[in-house]
Amino acid sequence: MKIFILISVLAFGVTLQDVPWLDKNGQKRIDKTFAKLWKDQNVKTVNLDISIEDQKELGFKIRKQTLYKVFADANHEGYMYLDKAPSKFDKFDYMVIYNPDLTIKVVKILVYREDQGGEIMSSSFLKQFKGKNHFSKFELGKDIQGISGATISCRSTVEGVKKLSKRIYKMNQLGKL
Amino acid sequence: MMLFSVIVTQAQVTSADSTTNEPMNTAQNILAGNGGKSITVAGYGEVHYNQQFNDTLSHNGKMDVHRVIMFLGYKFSDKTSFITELEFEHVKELYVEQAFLQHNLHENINFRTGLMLIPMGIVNEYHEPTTFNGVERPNVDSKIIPTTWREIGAGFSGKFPSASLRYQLYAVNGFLSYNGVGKIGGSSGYRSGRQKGAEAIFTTPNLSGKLDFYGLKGLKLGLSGYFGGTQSTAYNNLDKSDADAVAAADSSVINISMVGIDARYQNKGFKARGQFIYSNNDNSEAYNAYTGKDLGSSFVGYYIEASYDIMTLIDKESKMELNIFGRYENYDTHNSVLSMDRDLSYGRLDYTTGIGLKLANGAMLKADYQQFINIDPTTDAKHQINLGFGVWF
Repeated sequence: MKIFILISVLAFGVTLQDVPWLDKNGQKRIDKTFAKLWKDQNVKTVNLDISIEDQKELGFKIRKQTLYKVFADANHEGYMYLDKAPSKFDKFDYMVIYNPDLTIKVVKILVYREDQGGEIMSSSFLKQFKGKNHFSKFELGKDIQGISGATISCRSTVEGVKKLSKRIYKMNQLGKL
Repeated sequence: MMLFSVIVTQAQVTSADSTTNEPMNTAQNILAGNGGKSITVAGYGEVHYNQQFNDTLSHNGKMDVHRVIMFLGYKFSDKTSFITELEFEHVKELYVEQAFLQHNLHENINFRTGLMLIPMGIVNEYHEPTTFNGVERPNVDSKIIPTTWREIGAGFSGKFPSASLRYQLYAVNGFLSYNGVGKIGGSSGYRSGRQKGAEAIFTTPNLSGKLDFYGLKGLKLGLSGYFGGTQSTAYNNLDKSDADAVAAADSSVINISMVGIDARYQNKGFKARGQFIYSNNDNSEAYNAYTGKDLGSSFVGYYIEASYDIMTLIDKESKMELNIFGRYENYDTHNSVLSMDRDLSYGRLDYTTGIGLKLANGAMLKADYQQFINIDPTTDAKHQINLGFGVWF
């Protein structure tokens, strides 16, 4: 296993390590979320770059600069996993922050490009993922309440978070984190 | 009784061959499916069987490929997109229901121009058949809101995520009320006045807006407004100094003020929705005198609906849904009238109850029974059974 580590040490009020493929509004939303979660702490993110060999072993691809280990005041606080998912005519960027035990701490929509379906940015929708993990049920309309008029994007978010949760669980099981 | 099927596909494709750099036409782009994101193809369709019945008279049933729709979207850049909705209705009628250009000005502001849906109530904007219960759309969304209501215009839309608000505000073309004959009235409401962006007459802009709040889990609330004068050919080549001619032309237009509130709620297997629409028709007295029509001075309509997915009781692990639902509608295009008798046959109470079996996300079989009651006590209620399916992809 090869892990290439990039580290940025941050004091809040200072931008977190940039995610190169993410636009500035998405980056701002990451910064804001971290500032809220780890108030007055020094946070650093460590990019986990999973090698091609490891990805073959895991059975799925992991795009560069999508998986980060999170530290606050030198304590391991969990993981940040970024991804894209389809809305009706476009794609949106979202983030899942996991606790060290791989339960979900926070889900945030970082960049939503389309007009319709933007309701998924609502915290009342996203809060429903908190505490869930790979073993949890994720059925839209049953375990997670959707939002009328944003069905496609709600379903996309649910499927995306479910996918990332399965993947991070498997990475942990095989010692890739 | 029969059900029919249509074939549906979905693709997200590029606008250029990234491997050979050869120019490709639209069809080739769509067929290539080589990993790009510029063109999006989506659609929906619904096929219906309607059978009216009563004790004394026989009625022919109607089988109809009611709608087959294709969405085509092209993304020029991260900020600029063009969206179209192309519709075949009853197999042989072709319409462009949406064709607008949208540009993202700011995280919270989009500029939109072209042929677009008027944001009023629920179904006019969200009319994909798997998003509503019943084979047919609610009648309030036909008789009061002339779904699918679309006109050419321009304006802004966006959202404020921290406040859980979405807004839309557009200046649009209005209904055509007169083109030699009166176009709107008591029987069909505004439906015949829709211009649909087809060589539309334009004399005065109308204002359309909607505010949606979605900050409480499972609940969505909407407030819609539409204000403005109708369009009329009577103003074409009009001598502005001819006071009588101007006054006559003024009698051919109606000043519409329509407001609507709507709510949708869902909690696990339970769903409920409702909407209330009120529309005031200022100048209806002069309009009716000028055109010989019977337009009411106000329209009103509302419905409430509840449904429950009983599959959650039968098989909690099932991916399918079996929704039972009931809907009550009350609407009247002669809610109030001026200088004429109210026609009670325009006031209706409709009851609909039925089931919807969601086979997979985006594919639903539907069956329901409807009772249509006129508030006119001298007329008998009508009864109808509907079967059909809807797909959305």
